[in-house]
Amino acid sequence: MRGPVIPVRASVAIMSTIMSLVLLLSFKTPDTTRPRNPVAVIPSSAPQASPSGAGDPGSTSPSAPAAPSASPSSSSGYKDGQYTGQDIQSQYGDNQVKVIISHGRITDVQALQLPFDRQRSQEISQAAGPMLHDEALQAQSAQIDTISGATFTSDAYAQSLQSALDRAHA
Amino acid sequence: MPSPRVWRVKSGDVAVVLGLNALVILGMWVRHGGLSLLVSPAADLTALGQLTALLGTYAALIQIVLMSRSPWLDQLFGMDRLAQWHRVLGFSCVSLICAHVVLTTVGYALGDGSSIAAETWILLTTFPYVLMATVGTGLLIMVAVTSVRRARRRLQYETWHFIHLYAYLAIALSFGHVLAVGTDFSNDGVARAYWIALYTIVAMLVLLFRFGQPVRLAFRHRLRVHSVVPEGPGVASIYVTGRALHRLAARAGQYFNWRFLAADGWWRAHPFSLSAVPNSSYLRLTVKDVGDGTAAIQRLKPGTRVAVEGPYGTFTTIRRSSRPLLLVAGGIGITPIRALLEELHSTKGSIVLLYRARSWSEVIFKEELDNLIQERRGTLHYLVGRRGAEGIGEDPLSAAALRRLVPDVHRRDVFICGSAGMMRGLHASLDKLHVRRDQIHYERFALL
Repeated sequence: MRGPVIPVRASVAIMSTIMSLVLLLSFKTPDTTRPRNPVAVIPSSAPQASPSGAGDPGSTSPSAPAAPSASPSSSSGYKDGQYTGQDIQSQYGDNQVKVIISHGRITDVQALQLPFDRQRSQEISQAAGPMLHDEALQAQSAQIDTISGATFTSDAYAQSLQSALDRAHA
Repeated sequence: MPSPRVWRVKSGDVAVVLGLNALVILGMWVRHGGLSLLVSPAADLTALGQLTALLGTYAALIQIVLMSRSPWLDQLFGMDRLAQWHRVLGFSCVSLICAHVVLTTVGYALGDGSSIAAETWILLTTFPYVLMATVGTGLLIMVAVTSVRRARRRLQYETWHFIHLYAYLAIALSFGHVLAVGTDFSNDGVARAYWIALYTIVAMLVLLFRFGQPVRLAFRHRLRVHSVVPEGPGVASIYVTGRALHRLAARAGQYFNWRFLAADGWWRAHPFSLSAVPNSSYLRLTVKDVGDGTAAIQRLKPGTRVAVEGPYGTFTTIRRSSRPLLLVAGGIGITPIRALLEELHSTKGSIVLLYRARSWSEVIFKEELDNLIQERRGTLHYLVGRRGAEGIGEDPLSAAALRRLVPDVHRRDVFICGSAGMMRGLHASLDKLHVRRDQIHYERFALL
């Protein structure tokens, strides 16, 4: 018996498909969601990895008394002061926050930079900024929910905030 | 008699699973701000783009399941109905995906205040995996376009099928951008896990039934062509032997997708009914030369290896009630009818067989049929000749003609196999004769 013969047209099609795929897969978009300077940042989407223990409801309750000397693994373990987070570049622009700690608690988060370069980004930042701020104060950590429609901004905001809080721990 | 495996799935279960997943997906969209985003034209478009993406992808996954050759789906609905649904859902699926592309691009462009062209460029070059997904969309459009009836008729089956397989690639290519930039997934671990689970389950079904099953059967049964016997002009029966054939658990009236591993044609599988009751020494199928490689099958050499998928089909005597029977065959549709007749032992009432053919040269199995009918004390009417010919009339299967041939037709279970046109006409006739739908069983070769 002759060996099986693949129809010529099919093999040409398969070969060109494979070559196109190789080309396509080698295309990389600029990776913009990483921080500019390479410092390890805990992603906000991994609550269990959080060093601030925000998953513990007791430590995030706003009424819980905050002792500055508490264990550093609790959210109340921040040292008083102002800490500037990393500048995180998201899809739409720079995101950077400053966190203000007094009596071991997050008392304010100031957005130093939010994406304002494009009209859509401005809309999103104007809507999302205050919500992210409130969420951060509520959570007393960077474990904040993503704001609908502002996925990238929320993500970057949380990352910058986390890096600021990491400094507050140190 | 080995009976086919019975799957304990009900059509209601399938509907519930499909409905629940649809609800979860809608819920995901709402939870991730689908509704709350409806505030400005730009955000509206983006949110709708998100919804169409979710639903389009869900439809695409269902499409794959429909064609996964899952035996439980075949048992519930039959491949012919699954193929019809696949056809209808396919066009909706591609429309949804296209809507997603347009809505999202326009929505982002409006939001950014940039032109469509500029936004398209930004999306393609800076959003991770969006270029890949765009190529995937192009492939899906190609699949849809080649399936439009007019294009489909111009294409060889193999070409069309080959192009159709690119749908898998399209779905794979779109996967990355869904998780990387999809609002519903980029920050929600649960949604991400759910989505990956959906893809995994669908992939498992395909691997199990489209790849695993034929390979398993090939190793277990080691099927080979035993002989090819001419039955008439352009028609031949192929006897296939192998090991442990009873474990195939095939029944008369069922079909397999046959792949003959010869140099000429190993790459295509054909659905053919068994034309004899399967036994422990051979399977028999009967093939008419209708192009698409069916002539090559008739030239197969003894010893050629055979790979099969199946058995499929519910056109079996399981469907039979205790009523007497009417079997109707049109042309090559006699093959499963011939097998059914062989399996039926006339203990439960009489059998009438109507065999419609355009000419006597088209009639096959005449001797076998005459013997089988005689043994079963049944009646066989050959309705041979073109329409309008003497003794045939305008329609030999009209209600009036049926009433004359089979006066008690309304009391019978009716098994039909023939061309789509013949079956449509016969359905209408049977309706007029008050034969209920649940009395009528039919087979169509849906996968061809």
